[in-house]
Amino acid sequence: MCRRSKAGSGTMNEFALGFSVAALAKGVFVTILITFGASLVAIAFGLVIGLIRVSPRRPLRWFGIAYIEFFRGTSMLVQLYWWFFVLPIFGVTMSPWTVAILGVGMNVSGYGAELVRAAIQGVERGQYEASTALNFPRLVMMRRIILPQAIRAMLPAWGNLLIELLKGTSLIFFITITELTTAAKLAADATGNYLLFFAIALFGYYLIARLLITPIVRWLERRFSRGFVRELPI
Amino acid sequence: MNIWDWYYVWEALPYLYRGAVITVQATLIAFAIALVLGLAFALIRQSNNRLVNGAMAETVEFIRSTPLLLQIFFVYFVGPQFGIVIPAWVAGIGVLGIHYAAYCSEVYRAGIEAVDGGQWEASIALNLSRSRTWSRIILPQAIPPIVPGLGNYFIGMFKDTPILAAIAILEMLQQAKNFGAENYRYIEAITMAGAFYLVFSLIASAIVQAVSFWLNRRYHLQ
Amino acid sequence: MSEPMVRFENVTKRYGALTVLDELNLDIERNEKVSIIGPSGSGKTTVLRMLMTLEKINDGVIWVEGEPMTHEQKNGAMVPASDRHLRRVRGKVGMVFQHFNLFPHMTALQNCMEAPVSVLGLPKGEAEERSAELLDMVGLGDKKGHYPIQLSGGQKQRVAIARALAMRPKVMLFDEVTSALDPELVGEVLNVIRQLGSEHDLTMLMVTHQMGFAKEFSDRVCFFYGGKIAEQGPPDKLFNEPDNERTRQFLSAVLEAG
Repeated sequence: MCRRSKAGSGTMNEFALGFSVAALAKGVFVTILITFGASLVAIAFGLVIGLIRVSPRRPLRWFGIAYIEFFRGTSMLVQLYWWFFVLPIFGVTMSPWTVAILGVGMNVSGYGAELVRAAIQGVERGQYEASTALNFPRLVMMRRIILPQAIRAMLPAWGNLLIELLKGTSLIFFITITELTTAAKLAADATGNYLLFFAIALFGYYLIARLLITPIVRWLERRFSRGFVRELPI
Repeated sequence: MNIWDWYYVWEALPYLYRGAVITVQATLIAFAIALVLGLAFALIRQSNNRLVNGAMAETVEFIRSTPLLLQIFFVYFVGPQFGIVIPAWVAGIGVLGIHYAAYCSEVYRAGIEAVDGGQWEASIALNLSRSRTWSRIILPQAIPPIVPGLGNYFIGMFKDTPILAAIAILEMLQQAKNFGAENYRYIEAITMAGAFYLVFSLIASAIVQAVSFWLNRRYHLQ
Repeated sequence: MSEPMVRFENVTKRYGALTVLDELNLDIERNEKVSIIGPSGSGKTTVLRMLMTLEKINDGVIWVEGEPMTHEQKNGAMVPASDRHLRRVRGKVGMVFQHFNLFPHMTALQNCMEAPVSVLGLPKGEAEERSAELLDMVGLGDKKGHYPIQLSGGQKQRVAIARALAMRPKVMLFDEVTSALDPELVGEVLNVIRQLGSEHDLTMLMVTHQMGFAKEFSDRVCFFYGGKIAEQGPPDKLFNEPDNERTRQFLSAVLEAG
């Protein structure tokens, strides 16, 4: 790497390097921002579609199944292209940022809805029976009894899914937003040092996953585990 | 101008066909790599050596938390920097296989750990060798239940093949996009590519279920 | 006494080809305590589950306080009950389960308060007062803030009883409520039920394997066999001089097992 003492030819390299590092930092920021936005989309849509998927009304259930199969069955990149290249034909032109957040988020929401369904159906039958015996309306039963237990059960899987989402944001490379992968590629192309910039980017993703996503999900798990782990009596 | 024009559907077909062949080939080869390497990873993780075990676990964790696209870039571009040129085809499919080997190894591990501990004790009591215990006792019980899990990753790999386009492997989606760019018509080609992925995914998951059912019966596990 | 509290009229329940209950006719009077005994698979638990609307019935009508529960009258004809109708009649019935089914994410007090607040619309303060009273009554006044996982089986079951009572049901169903308990914890739960029976105006229907308790506590015992009531009568009569050969066999087998 460049050292300050090596002036002359070093300044050009140093300039390129400094420029590239700044671009890389910006790439990290963009990746985190899109990951955050897409996560919100994935969680909101995943929850709603998951609930629709277990609805007692058949047409709603079918809609849920179709949604899940569509977003899980077609590739994320196909979906991004669809948003980006095909929708403008119908007069819907979205900014690359909107495409990135909606495209990645809705793709992941298909998987999220499936987690929600599995968790809701995994709640013990006795809980449904006790709710019936206490005469809860369905919505109250869902909100107060079933969902709190289901959310706790599905949180670890959501942790993994959000890491998948983070990795998915790298596909935005194909639709012209300079996120981390794109920034690393540009910096590496500019300096010729592929090893350095790709290694930095790889560790960047690893750190975002391990130091940002995992701890947040762990924290949520602790918050939702009230009553499930033996604590000191209050 | 029609929104959907069948003329372009027919025009795009040869492109998509060429792409589909590459997509399917890449998926099959990479899945074979993932199955074998994933099992190797899982067996290494069973090692009693804490260091070996821990290093393997970390490696798997690292592969799983970083994007496939970046891993492909890494292998494809870093080699030439040191004078080693790896063909795109090898780099792309190899990395796809390694990436999913990390996922498969977790599935294998779950299957191995689900085998009743009594099976190990019985094998020791019968004085079976370690390799024979693995190959004849443990794995035949561990693998059939996890076929659906492995199958899901097969479908996942299939849907990740478009990433190979980044290093100029002309799989189906890239072909569709190229067709779109040449003709200024994206809708038919990209929609057809999407439909192909969807149909393939649905068929593949039906096949996975059938294989899983057959294996479980074959080994009398159900 | 004009009208029975609960009436099963020709009620039939089938699972596929298997008939679990075959044209059951059973009246339970206001404040009566009825025990249901019988071998497993005789359909005894199904009786409670149907009355709690956890199972649909295939034929017949269940009446609660002279009102059809499973059906409602519309333009003079009996049609299957709507959800609204079901919920209104269901409010008269409460149930305690074999496996407690407490809500794990709520404290004992919250378990009892939830339904009074969200179903009956009671103000929080009032629901809390009512729940605390009931927890005191079942001897758990000092465990209000405990989560189910922090309680023993017997304590959980007593919370479950308090939770059901907080809805002020007229009929209480007990489905093998001591079967999942360690033997030394059975007594505390039976004591609570005993106390309920003597101090409250409650119609009680229980499925039980505790023959001693059934004998001492019930006004009437029904012996189920093969989806029918094989014999019923006052406990002294049924336990000491049963008429039916099946009853005799069942009782001697159960008593022998201890």
